[in-house]
Amino acid sequence: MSKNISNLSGRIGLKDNLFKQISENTLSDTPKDINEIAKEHNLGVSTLHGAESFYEFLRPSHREKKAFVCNGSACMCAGTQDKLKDTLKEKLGDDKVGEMFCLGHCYENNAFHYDGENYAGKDIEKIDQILNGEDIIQDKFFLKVLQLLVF
Amino acid sequence: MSSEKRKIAYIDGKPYEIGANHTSILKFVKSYVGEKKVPTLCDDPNLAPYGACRVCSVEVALEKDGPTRMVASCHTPVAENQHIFTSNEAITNLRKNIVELVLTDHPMECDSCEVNNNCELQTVANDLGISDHRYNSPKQHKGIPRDTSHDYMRMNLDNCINCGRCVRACDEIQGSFVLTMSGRGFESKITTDNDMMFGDSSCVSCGACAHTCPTDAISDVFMSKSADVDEKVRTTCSYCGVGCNLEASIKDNKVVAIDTPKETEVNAGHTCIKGRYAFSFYDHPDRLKTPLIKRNGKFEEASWDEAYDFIKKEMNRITKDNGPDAFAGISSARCTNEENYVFQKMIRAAVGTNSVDCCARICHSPTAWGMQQTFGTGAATNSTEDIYHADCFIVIGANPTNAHPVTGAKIKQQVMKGKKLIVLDPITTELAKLADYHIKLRPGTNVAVLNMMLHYIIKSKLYNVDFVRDRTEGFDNFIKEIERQDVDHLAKVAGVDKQLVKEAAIAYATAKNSMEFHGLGVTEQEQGSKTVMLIADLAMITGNIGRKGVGVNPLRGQNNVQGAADMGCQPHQGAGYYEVADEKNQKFYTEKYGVTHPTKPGLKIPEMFEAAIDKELKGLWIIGEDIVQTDPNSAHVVEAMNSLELLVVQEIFMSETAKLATVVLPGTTFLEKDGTFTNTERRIQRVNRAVPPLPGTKPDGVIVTDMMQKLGFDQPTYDAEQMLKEIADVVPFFKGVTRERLGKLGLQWPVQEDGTDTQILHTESFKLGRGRLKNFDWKESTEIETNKEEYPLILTTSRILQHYNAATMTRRTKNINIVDEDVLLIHPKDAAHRDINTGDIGRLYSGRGEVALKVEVTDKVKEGIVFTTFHFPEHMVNMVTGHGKDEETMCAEYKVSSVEVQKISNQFKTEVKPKENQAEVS
Amino acid sequence: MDDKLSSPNQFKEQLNKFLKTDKQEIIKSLLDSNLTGRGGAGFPTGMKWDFCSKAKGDKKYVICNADEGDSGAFSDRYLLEDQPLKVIFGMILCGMVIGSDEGVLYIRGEYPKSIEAINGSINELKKLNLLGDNILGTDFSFDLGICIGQGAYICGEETALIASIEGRRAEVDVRPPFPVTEGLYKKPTVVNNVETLAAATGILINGPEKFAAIGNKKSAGTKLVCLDSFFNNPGVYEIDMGTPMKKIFNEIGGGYKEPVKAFQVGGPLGGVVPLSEIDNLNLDFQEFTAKGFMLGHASIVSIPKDFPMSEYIHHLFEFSAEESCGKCFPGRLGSYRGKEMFDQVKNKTAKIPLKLLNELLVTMQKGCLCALCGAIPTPIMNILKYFGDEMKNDMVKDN
Repeated sequence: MSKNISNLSGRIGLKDNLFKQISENTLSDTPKDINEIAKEHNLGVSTLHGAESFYEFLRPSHREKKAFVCNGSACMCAGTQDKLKDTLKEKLGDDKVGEMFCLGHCYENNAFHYDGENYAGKDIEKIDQILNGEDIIQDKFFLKVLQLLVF
Repeated sequence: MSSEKRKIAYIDGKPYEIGANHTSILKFVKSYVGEKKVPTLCDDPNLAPYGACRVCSVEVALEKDGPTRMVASCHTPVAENQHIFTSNEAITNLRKNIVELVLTDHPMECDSCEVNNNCELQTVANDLGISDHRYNSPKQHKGIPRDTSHDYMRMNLDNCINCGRCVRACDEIQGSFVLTMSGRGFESKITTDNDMMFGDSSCVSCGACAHTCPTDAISDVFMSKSADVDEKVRTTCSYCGVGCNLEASIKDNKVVAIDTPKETEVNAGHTCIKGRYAFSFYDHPDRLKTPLIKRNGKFEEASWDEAYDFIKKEMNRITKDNGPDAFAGISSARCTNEENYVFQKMIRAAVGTNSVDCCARICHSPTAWGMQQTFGTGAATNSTEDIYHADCFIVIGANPTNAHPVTGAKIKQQVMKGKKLIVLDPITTELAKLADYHIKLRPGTNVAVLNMMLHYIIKSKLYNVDFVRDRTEGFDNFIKEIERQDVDHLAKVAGVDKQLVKEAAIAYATAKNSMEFHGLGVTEQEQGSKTVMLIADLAMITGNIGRKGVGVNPLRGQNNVQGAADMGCQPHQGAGYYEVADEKNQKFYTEKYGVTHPTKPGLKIPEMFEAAIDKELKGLWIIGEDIVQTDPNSAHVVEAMNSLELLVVQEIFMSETAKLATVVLPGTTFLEKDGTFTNTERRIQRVNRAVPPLPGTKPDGVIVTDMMQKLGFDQPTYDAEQMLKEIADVVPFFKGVTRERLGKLGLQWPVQEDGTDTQILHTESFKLGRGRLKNFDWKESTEIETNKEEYPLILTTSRILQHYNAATMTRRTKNINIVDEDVLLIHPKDAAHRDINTGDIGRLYSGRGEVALKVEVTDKVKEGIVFTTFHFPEHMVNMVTGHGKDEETMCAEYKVSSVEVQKISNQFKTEVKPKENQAEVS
Repeated sequence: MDDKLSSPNQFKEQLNKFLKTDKQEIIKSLLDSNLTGRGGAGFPTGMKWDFCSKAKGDKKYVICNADEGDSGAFSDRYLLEDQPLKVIFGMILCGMVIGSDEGVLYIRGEYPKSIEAINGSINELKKLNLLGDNILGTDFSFDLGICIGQGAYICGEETALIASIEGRRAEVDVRPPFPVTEGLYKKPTVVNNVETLAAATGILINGPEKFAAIGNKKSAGTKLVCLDSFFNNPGVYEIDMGTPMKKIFNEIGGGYKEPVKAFQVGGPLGGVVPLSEIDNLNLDFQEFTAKGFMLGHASIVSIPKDFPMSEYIHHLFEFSAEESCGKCFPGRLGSYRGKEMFDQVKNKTAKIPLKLLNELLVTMQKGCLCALCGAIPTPIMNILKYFGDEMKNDMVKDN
């Protein structure tokens, strides 16, 4: 929809695309007024506001939180998330823990996101180290290739 | 092509042919089985299909009795042999359930709602038999405070159904992008800008959103969507030359609201703040309601007979003692064709002089002249519809998004989608911001830049050899003159980049279809007519004439300035443009009018002023034109008016000119009369009376006819239809025009006897046979030559969106709350030199006069240029403009005045920047 | 999948070879392999590349849809983090074939390591002149970048993804026009899933016959299947199409750690297959659809025996309500109203009005604009069919 906005956005191009500009601006420590970005590109500020308000990560309510537990179906069924959430709330505060849908660790559960990184499985046991900003060693999962399996 | 097989698809079992315009199943079904067969909520024929409501769902099968699937008909293409089912149990259930879901979040308060009985949701729900929902305690979005912050727009989001039509209208029709949906999922809501109130937003009040909104979520203060009206009258707008079709809602003999009809050729449901909302001037208390005669310096009320007798006595005295040429008339480009025709007839046949003129003098007279010299016809060659077929646009000296909003919006839409745009303008206008090539030239250098463009096209051999050979004459000489041009010098004078001009010229010449638009930035200059002729050259040598998507298209300013000129309101040509000095034509007019037609060409308006001051012109009759405020060098105009013995001013308000009159006659607005207007694309459209004339006033045609009878001329009592018949007999290109034939959509002249009209001119040959190529060298404006030492800045004036010229009408509407003063724009470098900042008061002065204005510092204006508007008599900006005129037609040189600016005070210097839309040039 | 493309040197070697290959041959190869989109939509990849190469346009784009938000799925994540070169190679070849010089990977923000890994690969390849201007000294230039998703599942839908990159709201667009003719910035664009691109790479390097030989015409080659933590051997496996599900679960997966009663296959929009039906299914797109399920991205989420199904339905409705773009009426309103119904069950304020629920599900299924709210009824209907008994105390049948 909106051939106009698609074309006007096309003038900005893919490399430093409008979505990137909007999200980087919102997530930065000193965001510009989006009116400025809009004027620069001959767009209505409403376009940028509408886009910005669409995404979970760009909303103020999300950005106030520090950790996010996975609320995907697999982790939910595994039943690990309630305890995980409690632990994190204890460490960070009740209102500082939110949710994210599926971090891709369905094979080990206990998945959560903190400060730009994903953790899962046994990582919660090292929570104090994580909160201190230390890098921890995380398990990698494995692949088995069964290309020629004939039934 | 005729052997192409007909493509068939089936609707509920019956076969129908798939037409070229059936781009979706919905369109296909609607065109054959009616508008109501398939219900819709988020669909609007003027907007691209959106696919949100899904209420238009139908079932399709690829073959007879084949498996069916449910699709939304608005955005699914119709395919050959498709079997479409418009309703069955599954479809009806789906539609019912969807509408039921909508009702779970909609207050059911139809009785107190503005659009009760005119609501699309109500209609669809009633048709499906749904009036309630079955969901248990659904969360609802209600209690949202109504947004009444705007002077005209109203938002009531409790009733919003999230169809997105308003957002799409603001995007796809107007192109302002004020509205958006924000949030996501169930919490999505309509938002203005970045969550502003309407009143603080960048909204330009075109009302496209209110018009398309199916409920009353967005509407206006006039409740234009209310069904509680006595009748709706279709008519044509009286503001600008676009000529939007409007629909006036009448209740108790008052116009309570204005909306746009769905079916038009010109504006497809769209218009602007003026056309849609600024109509309350018509019954403003300032309306003149009785004739006035000035005795001992004071106006006294008089009866019509008294006034007529007074005028007759004075007119007879003047013409008896001094000859008929001591009298003149200025007609109104805002009056109808019929009124313009009968007025020039009065001046020529009843009084006996050719001194009749109209405001085209100060606006497009160079266009008429220039195009007559090159093509033979002085009117737009193409239609607005051609915008959809052009690949490249060149807009010279015009700001259509301000002054011709609907046309400007159409051009903007095409440009946003990738069509090329070249703009020649010293100001960075809204279109200039989007342009591929913005040539920011110095006012007074149009001829220089056009010569550069022609030079590059000739040098690169990009001209259309076939067209030049078959349709033009004078090419050999033309080439010589063009090649002689010194582009370096011209680039320097104009203050532009050579390379940019070259690329623009190449873009224009190599595009498949290049379409030109120009405005007063071309004509209101000393070399105005010459500029027009060079534009004609540009179009001719590239073959951009005589077919779709091209042409030379002046944007006529007034609603009927084309008409006023067509009807003969110029001193050298009579009705239908026949030269009055020609004996053959004199015979023709004499026969038609029944009285000897004068042959000596009359006075042009500037000449009238000189003649008045010289005491040669003693009497003047002006209809609906505030020359004191709008003509240049106001002090000079006032002097001229005060020198007359008789000044009759026929007006609707006590304008600055009316204040100086001897007799004032109260006329009517477009809402109170029948007639026709001719818009900028030569389209003659009906004006239909919506309400009777206000008590005490008379339609302008009636006044003139009454006067003619008083003067002893045998003119039948005024009737618009009869008058049109008379016009059809005299004006050749009106031959087949009748009120009935004009119908709803109008006709573009020339109209043949059988009623066939003409979209595109010069398709086979020009009126002159071959087009004439002309050459002109650039010459500095006398105004600048004379004054540049003492007054180094150049003032250029123009209009903004919210007000119309002298703003006699718009100042008497709520538009005055949006913009209430003229503001001076000045470049940062010039401002720095003069120690001026935004918010200061500046003294703008020239050799003629001075005016004090609030200042805004911006780089939208070219360095060395200052810009302002002329809408407010409190400022009277035309005190400052000068004597410059177009050499051929005497059109006033508004665009080039030598001025200087000085800071008066910083009394109003505040931290608050001037509002977004105040005197907004772009 | 094998180790023929895991190092930059191998990359260079293969790229060299393919830069000299005829475009039509590459398209034919893909067509012959019967590769269909691995993201869930299942469109023949060769056809997509072919259409786009024929589309008129001065500029074209290649987009990798790495917005895998399906719960239970981590195959795309694996490929991005562990086999990035295979994905990138596929994009470059696509660019070559369709005539594009610019591409982008839209990676969801929930996968920070994937972003890091791809960034690293791109930088490395650029240094070696294997990406960017005049690759390996030829006329062909191809630039690649990353777009980071900001938390919207709907961006996995191709038109919403395109809208997202353009800076618009990520609402689903009507089709036609399809992205291959009017995609990013209204230019011809190929949007392919991560796994599809990696598979395309494998096919082109190893030859289409091997791929086509596995499975059948419509469900050909291999598929990455993700097994969750309920299996004794959780992980991502490349498995031949047509393999019986029970073999996958019991032999490869090693059976279950605790009793399970059903599996949601293919993400939150995929079908819920009761344990009893597993024996009757093979890894095949059409078979799953025919039985009223959906294979989709082939992720497996196990639902343990004592997990209340009404809570699972609530989870599904809540998911679709949260992630719905909000454009279409049945989606925006239907998903929310469905969630409310199950909120009320959870809070014990009301029972499920079964008739209304069924009408709602049909409405969403038939009326929605896209597969988000349009397919969420599939698993819910599966649950109602196979596990209706479990919930019968929470239901009211007549309403």
